[in-house]
Amino acid sequence: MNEDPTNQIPAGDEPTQEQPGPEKPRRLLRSRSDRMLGGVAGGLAGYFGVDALIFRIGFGVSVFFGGLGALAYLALLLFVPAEEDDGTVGEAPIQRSRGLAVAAAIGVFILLASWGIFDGDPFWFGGGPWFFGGPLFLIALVAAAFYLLRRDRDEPTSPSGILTTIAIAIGSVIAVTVLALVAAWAGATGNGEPIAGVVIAIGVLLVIAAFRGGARWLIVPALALAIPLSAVAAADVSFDGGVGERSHEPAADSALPDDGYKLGIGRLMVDLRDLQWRSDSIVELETDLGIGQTVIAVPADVCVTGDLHAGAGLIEVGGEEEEGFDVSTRPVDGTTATPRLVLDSEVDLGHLWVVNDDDVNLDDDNHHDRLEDETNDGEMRDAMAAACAPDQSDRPASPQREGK
Amino acid sequence: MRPGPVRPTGVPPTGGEVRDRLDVVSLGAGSGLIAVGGLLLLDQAGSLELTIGLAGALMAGLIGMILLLSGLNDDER
Repeated sequence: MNEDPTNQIPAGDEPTQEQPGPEKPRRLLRSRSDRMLGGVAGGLAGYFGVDALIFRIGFGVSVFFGGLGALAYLALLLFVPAEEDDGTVGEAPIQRSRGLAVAAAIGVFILLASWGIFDGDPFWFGGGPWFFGGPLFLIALVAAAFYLLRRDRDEPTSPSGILTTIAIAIGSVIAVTVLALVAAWAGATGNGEPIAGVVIAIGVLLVIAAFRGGARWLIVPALALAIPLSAVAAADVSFDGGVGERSHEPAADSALPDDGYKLGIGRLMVDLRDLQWRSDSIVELETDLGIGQTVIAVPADVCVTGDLHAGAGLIEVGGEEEEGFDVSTRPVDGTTATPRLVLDSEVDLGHLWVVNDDDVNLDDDNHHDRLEDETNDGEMRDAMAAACAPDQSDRPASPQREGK
Repeated sequence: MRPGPVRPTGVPPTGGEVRDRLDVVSLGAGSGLIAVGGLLLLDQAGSLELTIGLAGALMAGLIGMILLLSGLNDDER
């Protein structure tokens, strides 16, 4: 309830064209009669006594100059009340609806977060597991917004009605999940064009339906297709190489495949500690993983260099790590130290880990957490620095290894 | 509420009535999806290299816009 006396006009004292009421303070209101979208331009025109077209052109042009006008329009839309049909002044939309206030807050948050993404260092991807810190957080926000926007509406009270609602909700979630997986799979296998076409078609249908009352339900399947496809496309995810866990332990340079090791989704482990490393060995290796973890193990006295790239995720080489989006690193670039491993490694989405430790166990059942516990970043960092030291003559001779 | 004017059966709706049926949420979401779908199509065809930063900002902006339009439109009804 609005208790502001200036907002209320007593019954029977409605302003008319004939009774302008000069004693009443002028107030900026969104126009009910002269509106294209929210009545902002019409309200400003009435307030300043000019043609609304001037403000409409101004808002439209300003969109192309940093978007400040669009933000101003949005702010006026949210905070300026509209004149009601009966001449009274209503509350501003943001005062009238908790759902709208939440939606506005989330919108501003997403806007700020998207600027963070543009800067390449989004604050919400910085800590914790990167995957759960970002996309799922966004999805949870959207779900919370939908819940808050919908909760005030009529809800079924009978048991059968509630069960039906639950069944529809579960079915919808499953359908959306299937659509998302299909879109991601299509994008990762190079067949994303039809999915993009479907997104455009749904957009066209929505625009057409907008003039006939709308078809908002189409938004959900469209987003379920567009979001995974854009993520896969942006991260250049490729599922070439299959799915699962691959473990390779080549015993000689000749056993290394010319086109390297590839895996679509899963865990790719390459243990190079049994190679015949000589003091002048230079071994080149290529690995390519779509989604998951690549672990490359080398002896502690081998210098690791080359090109390592992660579309989104974490790269660790010899105890040094970098994470984020589009991460590239060239450890000890230009070194001539030997023995040396020259990597050309790519992980589209996940973790690329080079372990220079003679003792760590890379058995298939040795899961990530245990592997983390068994390795020591400080020791690996020192070992890598020694292995890549410019003057190799100062380095002590490698101890004879007997395998893992 | 003041009762609206009665329109005889068979008379086509006026411009104001048609405008009342305009669903801004569907219009905004549809326009945004056409734009995003177009960018995805260009990326898949190899004409454009979509980066994670750009894709993330596009999706976040699209979702934010839909949420805001949805909230605003519900209140205007």
